[in-house]
Amino acid sequence: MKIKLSSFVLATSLVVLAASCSHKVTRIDANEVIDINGSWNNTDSRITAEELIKQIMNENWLNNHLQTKTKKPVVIVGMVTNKSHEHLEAETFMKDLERSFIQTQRIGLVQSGKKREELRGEKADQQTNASVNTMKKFGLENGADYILQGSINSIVDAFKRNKTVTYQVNLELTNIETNEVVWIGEKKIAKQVKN
Amino acid sequence: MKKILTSIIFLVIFSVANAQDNANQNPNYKQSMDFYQKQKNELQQDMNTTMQSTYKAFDWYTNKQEKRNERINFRRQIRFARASAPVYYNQPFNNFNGCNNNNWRFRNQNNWWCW
Repeated sequence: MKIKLSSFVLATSLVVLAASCSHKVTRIDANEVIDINGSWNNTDSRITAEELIKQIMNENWLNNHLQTKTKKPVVIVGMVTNKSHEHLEAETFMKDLERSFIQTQRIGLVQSGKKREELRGEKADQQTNASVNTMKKFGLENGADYILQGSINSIVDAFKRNKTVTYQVNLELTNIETNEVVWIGEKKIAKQVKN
Repeated sequence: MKKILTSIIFLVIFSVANAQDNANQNPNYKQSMDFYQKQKNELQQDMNTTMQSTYKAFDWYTNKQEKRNERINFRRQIRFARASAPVYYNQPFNNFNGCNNNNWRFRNQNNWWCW
């Protein structure tokens, strides 16, 4: 009886040990391409960002602006509408784009959305709490010349275990004063998935 | 003297340019300005965000998996209902013991039961 009990305890502990060893985490390079189930992933975001940065930096709108105005263009980021079949955040590639503006110093960027509200809230707080020398004034913000807006669309074609998905990311840059669209960037990503 | 003259010329040029701009401006611009001034906070709150307006794409494989999960859940619910229902032994289904068409029925050997 004793032998039976001890062998049962041993077997149970072995099973528990084996189960605990099955969980494994491996660090990977963020640039490594790993496709698991075919949905939008970090590689798609990175490829989109790279392509759109290349387009926005090298197309005519920037030179046209610099020829007519002496200062570099100031851009504000507007809303991106995700009209695809998956929940995805545009912020991942939009931030890469914004970062490139600042790194290259060729395009100015102003804060927008909730961050701008927070900033103005802080400025309002300074009006009563900060010393006069360090207090920042209202009404001295940089006005944006252009607004960057975007949309994400997708087309899905599926039959039985085969599926093709095409994502189309479009960004548009519009002159705020004249309403003129000066640049449209586009990146299409197509995938075939076999389940 | 020279400085004053230069600044006067600059001011004249600036005011002429400004007047040209103003002349070209739509005389009814204030209507639009007032309209958007009132709702600027609402219009700006979604800036720098992703508005999710997704759709459900038909995917044969995913659809199959969903149906399978639905079936599993449905059977689980039946089992749960069966387990939690009070047991009345030796009371097979008939039209007089409170069962109607809205009740779930199941058969155990030759007897029909309901809850």
